[in-house]
Amino acid sequence: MFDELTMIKELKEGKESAFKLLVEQFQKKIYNTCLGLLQNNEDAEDATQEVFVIVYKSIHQFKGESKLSTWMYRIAVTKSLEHIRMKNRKKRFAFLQHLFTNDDGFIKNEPKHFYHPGVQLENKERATILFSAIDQLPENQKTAFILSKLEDLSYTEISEVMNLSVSSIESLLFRAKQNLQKLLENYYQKNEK
Amino acid sequence: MNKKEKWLTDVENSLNGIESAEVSPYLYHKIITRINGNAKEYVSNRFVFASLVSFFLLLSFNLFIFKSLDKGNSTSKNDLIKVSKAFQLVNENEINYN
Repeated sequence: MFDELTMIKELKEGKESAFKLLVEQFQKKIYNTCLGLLQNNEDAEDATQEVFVIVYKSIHQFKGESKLSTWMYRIAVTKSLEHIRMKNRKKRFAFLQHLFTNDDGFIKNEPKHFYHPGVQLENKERATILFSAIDQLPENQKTAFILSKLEDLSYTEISEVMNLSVSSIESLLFRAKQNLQKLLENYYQKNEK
Repeated sequence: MNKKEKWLTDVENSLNGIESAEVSPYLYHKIITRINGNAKEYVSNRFVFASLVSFFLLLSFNLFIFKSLDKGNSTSKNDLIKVSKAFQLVNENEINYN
């Protein structure tokens, strides 16, 4: 039986069994959130490890004002977005380096082809197109969409994770769907016609 | 529904029924290795706070000592005369010449 208060108490006491239970309970949720945002298996695993290391080290700072899962989702989103920003910085740096040195090692910013392992086989190709469109959304819209669609969190839960009001989440998701529609229409015009 | 609309609906619904991706069975061990690997680099906030307090205490103690020494050096002439008289270090007449 999973008792959150007992677990937090034992984690603060430094009990390894409690930490093992925490990892078992939350690893899928955290990994899948990171995977949805990062769209890369290795990056998602790396971010998941970082999330649990942070939880282990800063559990003393957890005041219990929100649910443990909300706090962990928040860390997972922050870490994943940091990974994305770091990758973008590296890409920009590589681009500049390419301009000045004509380095052939520069990888062009080509669209990702991410295959989520949980997608049904008949939807694989379509899901890849959708993930590519999701990847082009602004950070906030992308986060809200992933938490809603992949993690099946309620608007209230997403608002707690993102520190925004429920109405802001509704608006973010509405705009995300509108933008996805536009991106997919563009894709259709170019490729499927 | 035309071809385009059908395609859009199909793509938008392609995540329906998505299952969670499986996590590596070694994840827990990798996390523990990472925690232990970083253990030497990690300095707790409490330790940093204690070090800072100790540093400032030491600094204020040193300042206090230096100020006391300074006061000691600026002993007035009368104090010197008193001490000299008490220990009969100098001739009283000599002092009067000054």
